[in-house]
Amino acid sequence: MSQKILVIEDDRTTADFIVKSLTGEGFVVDHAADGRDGLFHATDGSYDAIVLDRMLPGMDGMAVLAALRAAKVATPVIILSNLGAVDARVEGLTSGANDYLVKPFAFSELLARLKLLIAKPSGGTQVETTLACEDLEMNLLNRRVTRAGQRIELQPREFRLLEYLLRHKEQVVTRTMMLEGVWEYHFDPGTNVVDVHVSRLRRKVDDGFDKPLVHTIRGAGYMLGKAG
Amino acid sequence: MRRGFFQSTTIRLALALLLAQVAALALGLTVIHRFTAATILADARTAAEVARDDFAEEYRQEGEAGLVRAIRDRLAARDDRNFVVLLKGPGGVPLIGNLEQWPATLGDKERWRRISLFREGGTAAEEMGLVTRRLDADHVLLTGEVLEAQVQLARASQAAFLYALAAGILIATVVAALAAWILSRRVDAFARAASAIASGRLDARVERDETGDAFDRLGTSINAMLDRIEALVGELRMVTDSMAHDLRSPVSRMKATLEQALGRTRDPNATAALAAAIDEADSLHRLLDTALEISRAEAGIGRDQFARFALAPLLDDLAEVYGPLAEDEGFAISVDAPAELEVVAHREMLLRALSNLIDNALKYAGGGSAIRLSAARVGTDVELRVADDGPGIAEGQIGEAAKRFVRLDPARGGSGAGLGLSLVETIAHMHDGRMAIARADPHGTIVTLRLPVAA
Repeated sequence: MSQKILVIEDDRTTADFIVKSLTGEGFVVDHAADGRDGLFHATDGSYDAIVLDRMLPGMDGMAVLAALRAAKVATPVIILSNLGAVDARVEGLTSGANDYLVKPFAFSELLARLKLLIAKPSGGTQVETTLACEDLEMNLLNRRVTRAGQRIELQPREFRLLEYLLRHKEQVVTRTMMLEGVWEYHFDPGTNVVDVHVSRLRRKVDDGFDKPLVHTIRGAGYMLGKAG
Repeated sequence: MRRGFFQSTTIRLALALLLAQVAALALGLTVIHRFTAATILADARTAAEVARDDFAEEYRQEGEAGLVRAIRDRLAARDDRNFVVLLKGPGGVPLIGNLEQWPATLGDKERWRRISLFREGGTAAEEMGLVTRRLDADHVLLTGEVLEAQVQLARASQAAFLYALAAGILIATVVAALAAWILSRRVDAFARAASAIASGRLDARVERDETGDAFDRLGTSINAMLDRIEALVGELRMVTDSMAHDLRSPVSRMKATLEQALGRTRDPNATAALAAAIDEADSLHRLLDTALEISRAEAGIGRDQFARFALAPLLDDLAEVYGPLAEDEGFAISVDAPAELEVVAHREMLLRALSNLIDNALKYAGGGSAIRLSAARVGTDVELRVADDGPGIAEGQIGEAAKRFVRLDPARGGSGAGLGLSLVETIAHMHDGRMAIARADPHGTIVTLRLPVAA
């Protein structure tokens, strides 16, 4: 069963690129070129996620979002914006968006975030006590991490980083997603701080084992899981 | 440093008012004094002249003996204790009178002389006005009045002047203070609006009282000016936003094209080139981002997101995030901040500023080994410091460092377009604070942010 995505974007090149790339990933994609049209499509509620440009002719992206939420449509929305400033992000998130992406974005970033939004369990609030990937196990209660039964000692932040990766295993996570999810940094420091953290974690998790679990995805970010 | 008390316009105005009032008072009292004194003098002169004419008539009719008798009677009558008389007989001998002797400087045809003399039995010289007349070859007559009233008047005037002055100063002070207060109150309305504007609240306006007076008219025109400024800033913001739109969209498309190409090729050379081009597109994006961030922070956008938070955890976080990277570059990051120090500030922006500073230290403090992050409370200000022990900036280049698009040593290369420190400074301004760069002792760089944000 393929998932349906609605793309509301007025810039043709960007829209074409998103639609083509998402279709290539196996999504069913509809496109609306202005706010009114987009809102009309979105209100039927059959989409798994909506990609919404902030600056739109006719009806502004934020107005579309407000109208959607007012109509009790809970479809996850990811905002695309040229306004990189921090306050624009906050404004987007407080007015009901689920995520926020600043142009120019890498498609891999959009894809990673979309998958995350769609995969999010809608109601399941059961408390997890262990996370695992292959032979790597993390006990959230006593904060022990083992691989193939061997104990791995982690610093608190390394623990949180690994926890983040485990919660999104088999999914590509980007550097900015990690900055937001692990460190709550909502800007890109522009240096390779994340890479250094990941490479340290990788040494502890993968060194001495045949099958590496931490993978670098070129041009996108990282992924925890089976080789691929 | 404040300038002196007397340089204050309000105080000067009050003093000028006070001086004017005292001067007016002095002038008024002097005029009254003069007129009164002139009248008293005229009375005295008339009395002297009348006595002289009476005695001359007496002498013409009764001769020397008659005149002496008349003078004696007059002196005995004591009806005028200020009366002065002296009759000089043959050989210049005083015949009768209440002066001890004929004053040497006095001629025999004086029309009105004021002179200080001793009266008979007097203990002090008294100011008197005199007239003289030669009665015949042997006799000369002197009559006059001691100017006692004149002296009393002078004393009274002096006292009156002092009392009036004291009261005048009191009234003038009150009036001056009142005037200063009224003025200050009106001017404060302008000051409030101006400082609100300066701190970025562009919708602030001068409160008007609708009286249509000069202040009210000034307020009207200042408000008109502020409307214009607000409109211009709004336009500027729109221009930067649409510039972002216009500049980023091509970058976005370029990056998309590159990514698609990257996905299609297996050629390792092409892959490397495409990856490098994507990196460049990312740097371009960050540069646009930073430039936009600066112009928006300069316009005071984001002030509504000030919140209260503790500094120590923020610095610890930074040290933790940058720790591994710093270690790889040969630095150790240490934090020194009191646990209870809280600020009301834009957390993200502060984080950004400090990140930039740590980044700079990592890039430019090559050879150093320590980066110190510290925070301290200084009065109601907070001082945030990022210090390294690298080679430091040359003394002459410190001023250049914060300029936009300036890179002190182009040979060092690296990413960034010299916007880093400029953004840090703008973030300091956004918090009404300032950034200072100094050389550390014996070497290294200290960047200090002093912000009036202590909670």
